Amino acid sequence: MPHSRTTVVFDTYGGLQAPAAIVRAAARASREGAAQVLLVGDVAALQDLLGLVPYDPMRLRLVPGGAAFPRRPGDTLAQAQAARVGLPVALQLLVEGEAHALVTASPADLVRELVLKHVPLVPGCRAPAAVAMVPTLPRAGQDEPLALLLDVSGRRTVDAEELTQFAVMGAAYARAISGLAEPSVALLSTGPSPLDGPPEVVAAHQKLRTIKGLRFVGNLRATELSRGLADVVVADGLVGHTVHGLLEGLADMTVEAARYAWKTKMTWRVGLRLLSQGVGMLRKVSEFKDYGGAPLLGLQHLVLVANPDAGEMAFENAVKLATTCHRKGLLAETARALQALDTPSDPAANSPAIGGRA
Amino acid sequence: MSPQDSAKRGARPREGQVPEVVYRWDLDKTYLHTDFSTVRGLIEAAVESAQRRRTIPGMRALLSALSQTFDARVVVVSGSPTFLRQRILAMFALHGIRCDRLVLKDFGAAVRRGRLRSLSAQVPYKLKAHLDTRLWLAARGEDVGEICFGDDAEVDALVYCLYADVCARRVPPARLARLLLQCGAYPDEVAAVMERVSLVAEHDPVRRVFIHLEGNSPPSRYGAYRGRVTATFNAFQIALNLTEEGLADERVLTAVAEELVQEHRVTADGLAGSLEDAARRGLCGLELAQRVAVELLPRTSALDAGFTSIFADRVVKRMGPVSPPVPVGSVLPLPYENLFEAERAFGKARSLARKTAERIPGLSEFLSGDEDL
Repeated sequence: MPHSRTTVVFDTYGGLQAPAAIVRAAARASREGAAQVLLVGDVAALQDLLGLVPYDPMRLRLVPGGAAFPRRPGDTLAQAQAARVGLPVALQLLVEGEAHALVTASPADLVRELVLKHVPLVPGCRAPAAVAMVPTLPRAGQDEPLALLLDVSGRRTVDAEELTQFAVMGAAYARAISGLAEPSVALLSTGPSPLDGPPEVVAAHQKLRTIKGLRFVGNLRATELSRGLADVVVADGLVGHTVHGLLEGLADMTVEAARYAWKTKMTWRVGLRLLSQGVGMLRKVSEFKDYGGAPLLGLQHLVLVANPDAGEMAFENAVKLATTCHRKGLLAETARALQALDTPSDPAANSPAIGGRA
Repeated sequence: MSPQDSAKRGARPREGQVPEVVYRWDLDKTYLHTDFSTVRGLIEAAVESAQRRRTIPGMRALLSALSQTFDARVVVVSGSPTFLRQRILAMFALHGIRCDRLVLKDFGAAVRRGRLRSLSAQVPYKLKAHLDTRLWLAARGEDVGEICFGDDAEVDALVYCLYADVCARRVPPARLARLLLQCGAYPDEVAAVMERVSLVAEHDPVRRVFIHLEGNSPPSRYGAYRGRVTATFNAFQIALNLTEEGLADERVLTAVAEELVQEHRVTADGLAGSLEDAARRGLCGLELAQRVAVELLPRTSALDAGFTSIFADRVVKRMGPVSPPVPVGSVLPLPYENLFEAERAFGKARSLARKTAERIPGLSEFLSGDEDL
């Protein structure tokens, strides 16, 4: 397992709050000694921003990204064009071993295109899967009421083989990062029966039942996603992306409604005060903008894709998540799990356990 | 004789010889990892042996190499209490540094006289101490240039610049008296400073002021000093700037790098980051930066070939645009009254930030949408 200090490289061209939020987060990480940070981007612009915050140059380096940062704030098209030049520089640092992890908030499609061009997949892996955390009801033996949802990349998953690989990689992530010895894995589908859902989901269900060492618990419907019935939920990339986006929008709407109530009526305000502990808990798990980013599983190097509207806190959390993934050997665990998938499977290995779903 | 001549010769201080330069140092957070501003820090400093005392990485090598390379005097003016004198002198002896003058703050006298304000007021105490040591040097016929080293924890930048301006008579006496009162001086302390000002020769002795960014300050905090203060993150950056200015040579630079790498386990990336940052902020030129990477450090037998090769590779491959070195010696007038208020406000804000660092925004702030305020 690797023990050296983790080096995290940031693509500073991506994200609605880039590059200022990235620079502030990187500066703080450098002072706290959390990791060695490399910022790839417009060095002159980055240096101007760095001059305004305390940082430690021994743990923070600037690397020319080959493109100037757009002068007009919010010019996302120009930002994406700059990222097309700068992101490969960051990926090169990752592939050449100068960094252990890359964090980017550039557009997901662009990231996927460039990552697939520069970063090799784990042998046997068909496609990388993007991981996200979704809030759930509290589950026994779990510190945090969160489940892993993958794939959330927005790309249509091709077949059952890919879904199976996602399940195995998701379980590897839950073992390595969440510390679960035997994480439960479910498939997101239209119904509980093994025959529910599109053909690739039905076929994946059959295959997952036969994989030795994988605790497959059956299908989950979207309405059951937040009930905490599984540690890992596997979905088609487009479906996962949509579900994740819906949950994010719902969380935003709930907060806005609570804010409206807080400002509108004194009695509602009193009611919210009485519920403060619950509101606090809800808030803790539903602040998607503060999540550190979604790791792409199945690559030979660690890539984290942050939310486009990620702020300073999210980028700080991304450094922490990248450090954890590196230190806990996520890449090796994922590769081992995929390699084990190639070994002959056991037809009677799993019998799904979610309330009579088999 | 210039410092470079002396450096070529490899001169060491000799008794009876007029030194070429005076190194004026603060201790707490500039040279030592101590915190005399807290009771806990004081107790730790009082019980810690000279061997166990932690220095700021690279500073021991910097001061030692500087004072061994040039004919220099080392003057230390610190806000540390006088009862630490023997321990501090023992530490310098252990580090192979001859401290020619050590001035410490007499807390006991201030308490006995009921002068509690004197305990925290740094400007009157330090200015008087700097002038005293200047008079001591003048009495020995050693009226030479000075390089000053301080940190961002207190008001070192302001005090060093004021000391230079006072010596050069750039601050009228009436304004100086008002400023000292604003900074918490008692009337007799003002009189004592004014008396020393009248005795000191009219000459600006300060060649350079280095402020070590130890307390979470951004470099831009020192923009208000109009180029008279050089903000540095570590000893390596100070050595780079001194070398760039011809006030030190490569032996100082390599000694600091060796201490950082061997004793503080600074990586090739860490050293490269420091070098690149120094070049970008105009502390050293591209030529020196590249010479350090491909010539000076690889020649050092103390650093292994693997380290120097990674270091050179990082610097040569990744160096971005750099700023031209900042010119030395431009002396612009400073608004000391405003600077003092800004320093005080910064100190208060930093203290508040420390206390609230772990505070989680409350429900009302969250629901009002005022979290970021």
